[in-house]
Amino acid sequence: MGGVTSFTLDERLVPAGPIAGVFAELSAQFWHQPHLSAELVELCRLTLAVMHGAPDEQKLRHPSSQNPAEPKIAAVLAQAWRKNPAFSPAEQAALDFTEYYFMDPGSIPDEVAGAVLAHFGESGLVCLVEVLGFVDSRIRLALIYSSLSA
Amino acid sequence: MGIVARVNPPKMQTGNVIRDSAMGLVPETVDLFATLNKTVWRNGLVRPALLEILRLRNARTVNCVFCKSVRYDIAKADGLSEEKVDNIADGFEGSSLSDREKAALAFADCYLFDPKGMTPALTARLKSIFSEAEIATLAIALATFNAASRCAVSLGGMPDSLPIMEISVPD
Repeated sequence: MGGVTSFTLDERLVPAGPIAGVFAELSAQFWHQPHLSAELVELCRLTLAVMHGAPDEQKLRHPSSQNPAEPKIAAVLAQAWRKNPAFSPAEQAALDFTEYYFMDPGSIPDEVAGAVLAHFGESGLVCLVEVLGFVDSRIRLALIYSSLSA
Repeated sequence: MGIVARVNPPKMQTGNVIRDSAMGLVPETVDLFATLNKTVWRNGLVRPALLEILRLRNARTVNCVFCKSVRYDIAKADGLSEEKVDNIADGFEGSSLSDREKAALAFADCYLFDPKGMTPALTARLKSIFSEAEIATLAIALATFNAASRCAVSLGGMPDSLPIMEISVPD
């Protein structure tokens, strides 16, 4: 039973008891906050999926994602979103931040964080790092559980 | 990364270190995060000293100076010593840590460095030492610690070093 994704992870965590429910609830909440659109959260999720080399994750579209246009999804999956006019400056700032975050959060340049602040404000920046933290964590755990459950 | 914080903490301080941190700027999620953190420590399936070893391995790897300086009092009361903490370094497999502690750290390293690299040998090792419920608890704890420390590092304002601080799990 391989092929666990962030979409199916929660059922694998149920043995942990009530903590699994809290983890699932918080993870779901990031799709329904006022600071970042669900479409942008989905583009960030797909960016992290690409950087993790997680093909099963890349094939999925989150049901709360407000369905980003397929050309934008294709551009994210091809890592071809930079200077792509389909992406707003705010989206480009968030995706740029996401790539640095994945590699090393200590490497995020001030100008990259500053661009996120300029578009989304302080609450938006904090929300973005929280979103990335939990989306990234869920992809990591899904990859691990794909092997653990095999 | 500069030492200047990229955001200001909430103006309204509550005495809760999580709600008073930058996370308090996102009121839609901060209460759930505080509940998750509290539940991680009080779940009861994994002893606090083992969770603290996992948390400190994550802190070292992410290089979160705040996280590295903290010691949770319930972990110390559960037997965590600074000698043990010194062993949470590269080369821990050859240390005096117990088999459970070494297996938990190997699990953490897989998560932190190569989540696609869970080998059959590591899977068998984990399953021979931990129950399914314990593995799931370790997984959620690690995810929580990692998200929090990456959040702290991403938001800047990290000093080069801090003294060790013993704190309680915030309510």
